[in-house]
Amino acid sequence: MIDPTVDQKLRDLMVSYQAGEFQAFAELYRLLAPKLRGYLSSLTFRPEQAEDLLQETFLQVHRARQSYLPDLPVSPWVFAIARHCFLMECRTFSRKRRQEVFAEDELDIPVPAEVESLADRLALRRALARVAEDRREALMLHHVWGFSYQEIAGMVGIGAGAAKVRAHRGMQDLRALLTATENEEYRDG
Amino acid sequence: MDDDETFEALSKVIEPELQPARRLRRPWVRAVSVLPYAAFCVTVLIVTRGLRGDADVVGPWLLWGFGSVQLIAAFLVFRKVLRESIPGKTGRPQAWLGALGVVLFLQLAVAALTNAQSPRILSPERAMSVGLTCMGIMSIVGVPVLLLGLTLASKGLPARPRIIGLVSGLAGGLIAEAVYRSHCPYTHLTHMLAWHSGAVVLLGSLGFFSGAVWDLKRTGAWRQRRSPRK
Repeated sequence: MIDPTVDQKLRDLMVSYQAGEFQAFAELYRLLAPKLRGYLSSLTFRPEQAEDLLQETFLQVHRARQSYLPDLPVSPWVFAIARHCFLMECRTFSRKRRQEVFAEDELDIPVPAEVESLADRLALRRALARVAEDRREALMLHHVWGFSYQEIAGMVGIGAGAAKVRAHRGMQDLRALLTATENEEYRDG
Repeated sequence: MDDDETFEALSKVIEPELQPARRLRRPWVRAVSVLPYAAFCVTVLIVTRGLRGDADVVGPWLLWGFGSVQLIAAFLVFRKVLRESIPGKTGRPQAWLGALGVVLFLQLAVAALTNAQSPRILSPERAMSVGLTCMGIMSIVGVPVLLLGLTLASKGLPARPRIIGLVSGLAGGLIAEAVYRSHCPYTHLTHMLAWHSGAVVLLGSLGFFSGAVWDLKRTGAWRQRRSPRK
């Protein structure tokens, strides 16, 4: 669940930004960039590309700022733009780019709190990378960034029920992968 | 690039061009624009080509009541197009299929009801010329709605321009049908499916391809902007 106080602050900042205040943009960047960076990292698995897309996301936010309506929460709107940038990048430069080997220690992908105690961060990230893309996305959006299933549905273009199923199955897969890894390590001594 | 560098780079672009942005109105408020357009088209059609000959037999409810229902449905579909263009409000595929179903069902159901009240069959030698006229006029009425849908949607940041185009075209088709049934007295299923539904499908296809062109242009612009950095 997104904190209502933070959400209200973001809405006020967005309205000020629409009114042309640069300071509001700076504050929005400060509050949203870390989350967006994590989200884009979880999509690309490449820190450099995630940083590039973060910049592109804020440019698109700037160009589409008139489309924000104050009665809507800011985060789903901004995350949807980040997702749009990622998809544009995929379509433009083929998905192969994303398959490149990534430096795991450089990646700063947040992990769901529910599984944090099950393994170390590196093992968690590795397991996360092996969860199917659509399930991982729903899982991360719900369990890490606190979006409701309705909000995820609007971002991804699916029904709320489908978003719930994806997140649930993603969590199941992640737990299964972590358990399998743990068993392998135990067997190997 | 670290956080500060990214912010610096963004500031260089954003700060000089930061102006107050005129916020978009709610989708339903923007979608209302199709209603006066439809009223205008009905007026022009009746003045230039006359009211359908069997208006007395069909009756006001079936003629204007069901026409209004079609218009309201078109307005709702059009509103959905504009909602889709707002980031974070992307509709699910089933909803779009539903919209497509509503458009075609309403068109055929209203035609069947009208046909039951006032059956009229076209002679084979006139079927083609009347059909082409129907399709032509419906397309002329529907294209501005399609263009309006694409223009209004482009003010936002739609994720799926093809869908935007397709559904704008369908909404245009439904409005054209609601308008044109005030003039065309032929509601036989063959005529309806071939020419009236044909016009709706034509408008939908035109919209889909316009959306595809928009999408291609957007992807091209993205590639151009992003390539030097890669």
